[in-house]
Amino acid sequence: MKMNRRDFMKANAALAAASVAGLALPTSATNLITSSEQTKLEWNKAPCRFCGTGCSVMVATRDGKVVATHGDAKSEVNRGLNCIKGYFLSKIMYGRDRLQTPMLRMTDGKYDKHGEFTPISWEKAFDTMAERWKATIKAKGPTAVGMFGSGQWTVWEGYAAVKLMKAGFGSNNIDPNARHCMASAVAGFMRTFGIDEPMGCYDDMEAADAFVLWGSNMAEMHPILWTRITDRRLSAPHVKVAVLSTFEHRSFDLADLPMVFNPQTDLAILNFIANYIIQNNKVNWDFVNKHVNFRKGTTDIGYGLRPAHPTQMKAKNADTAGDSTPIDFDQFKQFVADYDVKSVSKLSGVPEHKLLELAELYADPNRKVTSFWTMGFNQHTRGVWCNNLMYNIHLLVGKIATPGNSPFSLTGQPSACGTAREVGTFSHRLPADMVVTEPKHRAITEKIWKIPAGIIPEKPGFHAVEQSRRLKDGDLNCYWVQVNNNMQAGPNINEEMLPGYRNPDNFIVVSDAYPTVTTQAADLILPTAMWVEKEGAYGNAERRTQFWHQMVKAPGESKSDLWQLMEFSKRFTTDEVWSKDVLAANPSYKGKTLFDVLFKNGQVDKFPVSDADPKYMNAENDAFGFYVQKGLFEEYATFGRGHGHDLADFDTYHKEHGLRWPVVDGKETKWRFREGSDPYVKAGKGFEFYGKPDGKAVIFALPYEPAAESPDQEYDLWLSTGRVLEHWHSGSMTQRVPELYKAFPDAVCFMHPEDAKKRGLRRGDEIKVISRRGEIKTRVETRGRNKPPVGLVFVPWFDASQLINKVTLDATDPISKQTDFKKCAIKIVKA
Amino acid sequence: MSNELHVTSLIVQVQPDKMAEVRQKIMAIPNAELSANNDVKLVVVVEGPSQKSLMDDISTINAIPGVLSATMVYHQSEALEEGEK
Repeated sequence: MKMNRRDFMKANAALAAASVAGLALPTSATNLITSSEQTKLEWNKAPCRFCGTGCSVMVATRDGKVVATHGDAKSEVNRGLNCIKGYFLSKIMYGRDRLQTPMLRMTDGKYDKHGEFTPISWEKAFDTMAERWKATIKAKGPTAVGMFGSGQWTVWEGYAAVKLMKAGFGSNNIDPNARHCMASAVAGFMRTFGIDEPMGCYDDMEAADAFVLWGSNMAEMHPILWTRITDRRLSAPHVKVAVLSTFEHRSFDLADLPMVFNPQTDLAILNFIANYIIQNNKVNWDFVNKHVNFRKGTTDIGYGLRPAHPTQMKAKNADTAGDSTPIDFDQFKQFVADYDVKSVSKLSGVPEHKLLELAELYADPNRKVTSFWTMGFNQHTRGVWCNNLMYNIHLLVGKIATPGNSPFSLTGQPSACGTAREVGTFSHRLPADMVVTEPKHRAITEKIWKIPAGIIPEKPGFHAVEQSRRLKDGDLNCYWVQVNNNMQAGPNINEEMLPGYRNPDNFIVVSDAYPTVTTQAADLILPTAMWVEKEGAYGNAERRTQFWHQMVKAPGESKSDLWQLMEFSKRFTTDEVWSKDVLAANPSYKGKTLFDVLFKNGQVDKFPVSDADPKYMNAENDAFGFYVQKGLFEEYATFGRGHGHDLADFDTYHKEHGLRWPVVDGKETKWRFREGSDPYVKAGKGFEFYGKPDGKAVIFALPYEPAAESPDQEYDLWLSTGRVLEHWHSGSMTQRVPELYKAFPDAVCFMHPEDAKKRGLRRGDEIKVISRRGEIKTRVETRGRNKPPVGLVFVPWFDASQLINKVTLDATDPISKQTDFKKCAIKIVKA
Repeated sequence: MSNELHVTSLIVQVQPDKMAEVRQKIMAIPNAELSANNDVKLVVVVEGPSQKSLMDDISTINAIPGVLSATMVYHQSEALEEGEK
């Protein structure tokens, strides 16, 4: 049979899809040769740089440019598939407005806060920065300088940043945008298990008999994982899918048990399920007796608002929010007994029969259950509680750490786990789950970093929302933002964010690849290399660490965040930033630059450039003369090896399509805490939650408490914010891909037709969304993919022309300090 | 007039009781062609003169009742020669 070119392309496309889907094609169609076009391309693997799923993609370069991508068939995560964002990855680096040179606000050739952005050299950019940093540290000490990073930093970038801040400047004022995203999940893990990150892995999806989505809209936010769940549901008819949310969305299409609940009442539903399990004698006593302790948490803990806020002043226990006291099972039983099906149904708005059916999924000893959640639980003023209450349920029935039985906290960013959490780029954290408040942890860290004792401060630094408040108040004066668009992502922009950036006492530096609202609010912009323009490593939601090589050159003067951090460290000597006492006690450090102390320490600079694969370029190796990424990774990995966070050696990751830690004796770990699967569990234990000293996880008694702000007479609607499939986060990359922009160009306000009618509005009308803090203009959408109930509206936050975070409230979880972007009170009027 | 040819293939996951209707609806889309399938999954090949046209067809497929997901696998574009079809 003779094929023309069109037939050939179509047959090739069909074959690729059929083989990924596991479907057979007629033999005539499979008899193909590789297209000649394909052979000119150089293909390499790289993890996708968007969400936390961690899909591996094959990246094709030709003549120094990324020209195509497709799903990596060898990847255990995505098995050859790509979502729409991953599909257009090749285009994110080639937006026309890519930043290519440092730019400083200047008037008449001099820095001026009110001046115009003017191109300058890197030399001049760093001179200007260093001058401000030095003067500020001299006048006010290290607490007046700060950094805001990201779960999109590569592992070594986050590691270099935390070293520069905590070991170099002696300041704990470093926090990632993962604070907006995963902080409640982290605190939940630490409180219940004493060690961060999920015990299970994606293999749970092929083993579970039931899936419960708590708030998460995986169909749009984690589409590749959703195809795996869909496959499981459709191929095994006994499998049930339950979806809970405050509004109906795309994931409801697959739901056997769909439930829309009133905002904040998830706390009550979770306690109801625990109560149901106890009342119906479905507690797994063998598991509970051996592996669980019970505690009661402090209540009435406030809403993480400014101390002078009236709502905050009413809270009795804001200062002791994370405390708890031991109780026994009977006290726990009594505590949850109030959460009966009748009262919880009334509070949540979910019919009784659905609540019972949901509880039975967990209670039935013959059903393996996997629970998923993301921002619905985490962006919640009781987010840590939600995480704790979720684990309560899985622990009561012992459905944990075995294939298909998995409480699974999903992740929003590609390396929220690998960088922000594991490296510890939070204001209170150090690598491998250690914290600055613990003297032993500081000592371990100072020893590995080869810096004198007493450099790392004991007091946690300013967290994300606190940084904004301190900038506004003038306590934080030099501020460096990398790899994120916080002026769009952070809450309450008008009142709490923009004033700090434009405060005349402050100097704001933003590193990014594209202009954003954050670069617009800055004083100095640094152009940044992205994704495969540098060698990188990310860690995904299932503890999988993945590496990639640099494949292309960054445009113009763009440099990686890593180069920027290391190069900036050369501008400081220890005498300028460390205390006189420490230097007097350790005279050998006197006069050295921070670069010498942090990066030329005999460890980071240990591996020669010749260790790097000569097939690939490496801009940092060229600049510094040693294998920078390998040195940083190997020093970092010493923190976790032998302590439950073991990573493989550097070179292994360039060969593998990712490995799940702990990697012990070359073997990855799929399920932690279970004997036979996790090498850290001692023989004969069965299960061991070794993050806690006695090896037992904790079940917490925690109540339902109302939201920080609820609708009233005047502000009569709930506002929830979130993402849509086509755009990732603030849209600074995806809005530059024409196909994605066209698919969902402008944000809209999804609302119930009755709510529209009541206000005299029709689909497409221009409206104002108004809160006590600010307002935006947008348009009414009464149809489409999201269907809110009466009383709630949903507005996506990717659109920089409609900054919905002018409207949101900066209320945070008092334990995790993570903002609740899902609940505040608004009103809507015709514009 | 664009002289490019774009081809993409999709895996479409479908509620089994809606499979017949979904297949009917996809066959009615001029640029889409059904390929292999089983009870719950089908492979669709879409062609068109631009990526925009592919995206529109993919959105249409995604919006068909009973379609649970439509995920892209492969994409290729070529400049067509004079007289080639």
